[in-house]
Amino acid sequence: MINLSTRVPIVACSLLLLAASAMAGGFSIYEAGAKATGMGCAVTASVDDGSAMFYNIAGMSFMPGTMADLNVMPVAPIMKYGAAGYNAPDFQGETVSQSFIIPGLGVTHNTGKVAFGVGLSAPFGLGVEWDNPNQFPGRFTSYDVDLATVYITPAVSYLVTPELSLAVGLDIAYQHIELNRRVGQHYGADNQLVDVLDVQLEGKSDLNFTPALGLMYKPTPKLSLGVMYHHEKTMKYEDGDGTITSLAPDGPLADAVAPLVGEYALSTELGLPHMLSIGVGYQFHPRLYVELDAVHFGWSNFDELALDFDPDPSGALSSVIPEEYEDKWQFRLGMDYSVNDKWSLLAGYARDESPQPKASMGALLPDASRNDFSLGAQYATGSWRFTASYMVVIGEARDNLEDGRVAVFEEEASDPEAVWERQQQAGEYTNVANIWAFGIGRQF
Amino acid sequence: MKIIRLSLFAVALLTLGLTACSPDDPSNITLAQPEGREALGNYVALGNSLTAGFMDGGLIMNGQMSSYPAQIAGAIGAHDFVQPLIASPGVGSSTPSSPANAAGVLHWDGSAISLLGETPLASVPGLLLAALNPTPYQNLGVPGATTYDVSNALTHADSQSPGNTFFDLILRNPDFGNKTMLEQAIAQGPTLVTLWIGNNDVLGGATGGDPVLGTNVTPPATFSAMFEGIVNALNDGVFDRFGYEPALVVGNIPSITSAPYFVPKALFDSVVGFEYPTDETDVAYVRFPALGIADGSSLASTYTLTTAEVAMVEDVVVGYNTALDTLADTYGFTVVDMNAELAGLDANSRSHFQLLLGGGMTVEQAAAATAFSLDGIHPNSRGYSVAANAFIEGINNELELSGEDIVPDVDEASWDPTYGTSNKGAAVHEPLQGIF
Repeated sequence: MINLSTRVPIVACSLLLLAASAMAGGFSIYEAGAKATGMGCAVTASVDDGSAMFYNIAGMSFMPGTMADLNVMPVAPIMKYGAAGYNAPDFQGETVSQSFIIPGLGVTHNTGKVAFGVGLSAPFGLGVEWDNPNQFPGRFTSYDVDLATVYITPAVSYLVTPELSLAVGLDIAYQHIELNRRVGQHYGADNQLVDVLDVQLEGKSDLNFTPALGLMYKPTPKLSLGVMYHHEKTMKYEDGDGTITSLAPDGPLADAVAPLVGEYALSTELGLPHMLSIGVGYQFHPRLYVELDAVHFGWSNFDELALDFDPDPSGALSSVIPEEYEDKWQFRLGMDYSVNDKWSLLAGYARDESPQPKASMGALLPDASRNDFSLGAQYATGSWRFTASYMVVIGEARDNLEDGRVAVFEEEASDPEAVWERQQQAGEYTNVANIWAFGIGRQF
Repeated sequence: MKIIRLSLFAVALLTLGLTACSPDDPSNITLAQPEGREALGNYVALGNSLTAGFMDGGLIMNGQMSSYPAQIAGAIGAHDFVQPLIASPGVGSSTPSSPANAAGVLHWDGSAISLLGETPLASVPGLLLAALNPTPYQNLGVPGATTYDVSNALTHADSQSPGNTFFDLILRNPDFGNKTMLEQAIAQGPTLVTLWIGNNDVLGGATGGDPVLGTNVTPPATFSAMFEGIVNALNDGVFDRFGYEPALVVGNIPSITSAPYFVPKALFDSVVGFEYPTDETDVAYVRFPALGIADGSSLASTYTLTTAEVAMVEDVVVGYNTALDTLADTYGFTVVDMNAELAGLDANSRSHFQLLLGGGMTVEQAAAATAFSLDGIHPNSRGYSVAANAFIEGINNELELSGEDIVPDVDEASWDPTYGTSNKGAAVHEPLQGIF
């Protein structure tokens, strides 16, 4: 893994309004193409369009000539929160209604023995903005977070035999994060909780380079196997911005927080998991192809979030937030039914176990295990392909309690402030995301 | 037909897209009530001088650091337990050399008990080290507070001991929001409360030498009603705001005869060397300050307690403690038998430091032997350790802690009556008077 210390603005990313929301376990977004989305993203053994640059770069060897695909996938996530309390509190909150565009772009060229291409995907992202930030109890952890990650993947694939291709690529990643939170202080004889500071953290990561590997094997005309691997990453932020403004009413509180108000340099690291996808597909009927994929996410690489402020002479601003995610498998089932030479129908299902421990759940990301259901259709005419799909990602209702008490990490248990912060976001969360995917592709 | 089917499919897809799914409303789930060790998580102490860590005739951080709530907080790991610590020379209840000053605490200067120092009245607020603590103190004990004061007093002006500025120092009213001691406790959402109150309801009369039931001694029935009001308000207040009721551990009222402040007449006579004359007849106890003015002239009634007065006061103490036991049965709190704890101390522990010196002990030996401070009625650090351990036993019982969850006893804290100085200090004018 190579990291450049130079911060690079990626113009393409901003043009694509790239902010996204967690659609798969943790903050992964496994949707990189309209056809794949319609098939529950179970295409590792069969991908045949530009999204191969994400799902399986070895698929380039089985794609004819030169191809280009552009996909746009509007996503509308909704999360809801019901506070937990000792006496059945009635606070209910939900995220602001918003949509994000996930891009998927791929261009490939097959010379016969060797194929090469480049693609753009956004495999990790998060967009959680809670409504009513002045009242939302979890605002002291986050009331608005946006995380966008772009992978640009150039790759080359080699057709070892007519049935087997091997590919290698480079995942060039860039990330942007913005986090907004409040700092509260109990004050006065009545111990009222007062919002005293608003903290905005924003950073652009260094470029990060890691390898990608692919394999596709078609031992028979009906059977297809595929393996794809994207290496884990550690995104480094070395020149982020921290802006702290005072919300405290004039008086002792404002005086007390005044020394903290200002601009800070911020550095941090964010671990991203490896993705290992293994797929097997079978042509059960000349018109019906079915594929089953298992995808392993190495989420244990996201074990903490260390925020280092500069200056921070007292150490009051810098912190290490434990996350301790766990490695998880996803299982994806997809179907492609050819109605005729022009029309195909797509359908899929995925089971996605959450990698997030309960002690990490909260306002920043209330993750849950999910069931994904998808439908889609593709229309091919001449050298053009048009695809439209819809996926609904239904998260299971999940709370962050254990035995009736808010879950906390062991290392936080003796820190009253950390425990208090966890308690502020104790409750049950539900979430659903609607994804529409539109793709247009052309063979040249 | 294919076109029709595909069109239908497209319509279905579009319909799905337009009628986007939304998540179910989440449940408002209920947290388990704080119990066991979890109830140790937010500890607040209510009471009077005994809770505040009053020692050697005043409040000073040396004494406050070994208050029984502070020692309990250390034992349960409540590292954020905040007290209204007061810097040296402290704020005492003795009479200063000038009315423009506030007396500090007492100390042993090598030959006598004297003031550690004095502070100009205008500078007294500056002695409060945690004046800017943004929230109420966890130790809300106010020297001089009565049972009535717990739920009624806001400042020195409306307490039952008008002029008692400890209310202003510790409750910080009116600027802090005009909340009583009880309201400031409720606002913190305590999961564990210790309450030791009522001592001044009876001592107020006894330490003045002329206790009169209903005048300067609160009748047991009145005490019972006020105490029940505190318990109800505490439970209801915390429940209404936070959804749980705190665990409550209550200390009962010791006998006045447990403290060396009240010197048996026979002992007093042996110390001065003759049967000392008194204005009252049938004198049972003499207040300790009388030793400082024993010049042979007859002691006024304010310095003595007759057998009848002692019996009345003791009856009141029994009445208070009976009321506490009855209320404990009704409301399910735990009563710590501080009466028995102090009565069970050995003779040296219940003796005054100065008398132990007179008996031939060194300063170090006397300091280690007695459980009471120089004012004779408030425990010293060691005495507060005794109180802390009694309360800890009550906490373990109240929370039904067992095994590794049991809160361990504290080690006996040491007491230095010299305050580490050979400074002769200021003379004590009319010593050991005032607020308890």
